[in-house]
Amino acid sequence: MKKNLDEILIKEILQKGTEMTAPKDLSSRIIARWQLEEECIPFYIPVLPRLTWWILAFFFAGLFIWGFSKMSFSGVNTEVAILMEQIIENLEYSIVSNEGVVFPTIAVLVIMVLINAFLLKFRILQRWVLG
Amino acid sequence: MDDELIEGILRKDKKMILVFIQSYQHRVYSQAYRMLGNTQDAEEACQDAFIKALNKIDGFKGGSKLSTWVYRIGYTTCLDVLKKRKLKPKMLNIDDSMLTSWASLHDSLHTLESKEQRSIIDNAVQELEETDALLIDLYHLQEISIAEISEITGLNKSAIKVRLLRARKKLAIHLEKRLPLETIKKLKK
Repeated sequence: MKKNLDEILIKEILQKGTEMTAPKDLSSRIIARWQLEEECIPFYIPVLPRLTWWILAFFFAGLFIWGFSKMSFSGVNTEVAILMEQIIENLEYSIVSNEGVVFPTIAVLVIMVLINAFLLKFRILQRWVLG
Repeated sequence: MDDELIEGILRKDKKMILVFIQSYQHRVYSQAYRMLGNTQDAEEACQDAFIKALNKIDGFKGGSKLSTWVYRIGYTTCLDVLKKRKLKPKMLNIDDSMLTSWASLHDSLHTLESKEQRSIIDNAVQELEETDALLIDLYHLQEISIAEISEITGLNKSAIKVRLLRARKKLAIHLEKRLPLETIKKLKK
């Protein structure tokens, strides 16, 4: 009984505080922002960052393989070492020895990062404009 | 009603989206204000929460009410903002012997002008820890059940009850601290 009375009193006290209501134009601003994100940059949110990560992953994988290929296995006289050397030789031939792969990869990576940065800036701008 | 709203949002029907936002915006905003303590952050969090809700509506499985789902998104969005702020929790020692009854607090506040009352109550609520302020708001003002609060916040029911008990005591202390001296003297008599 006492608890119920306290609860009634607490509610009465809290009701005397400022009533929190959302600004009148909040719903229209949310819709405007949502529409802009839907229409202008649908490609940005799911695809671009992922693509950048994939390119980064491939780039570093290539770098790793290239570095690995420079290591010497001559001291390790096992079948595994021979097999590793064969694999690396093949990879080196197909990926690293071809310089035409490395530079375009870096170029694409830089472009992707720039596009991401631009779109991120655009999102921030869009927030400033729409509030 | 929930199904209609969801279908409308999935169809990207602007009217239904407006109805959806307008149905829940005041509570999400109030929740955000209680947790973040200022109108600018509350508005921003409210916008972010609704954008997330609109984008993730196809993932709503109907395990709870749509309102609870939306409030939960609002709550987690505010938690993200608070994480970025990295504020230290507000500490307050609770001495039960010092506590004034709610009836006395209620009567004392009643003697003040409404503007002064509002200021004292708002400041006292703001002094509470973010989650405590939210729990007080949801349970005492919005009269949401403990079970639903549990779904919104992810806290278990007994933890909510304990936190509410402590939050009420802290609120009483903060209110008493803010009452004018003469009123306090009358209270102690």
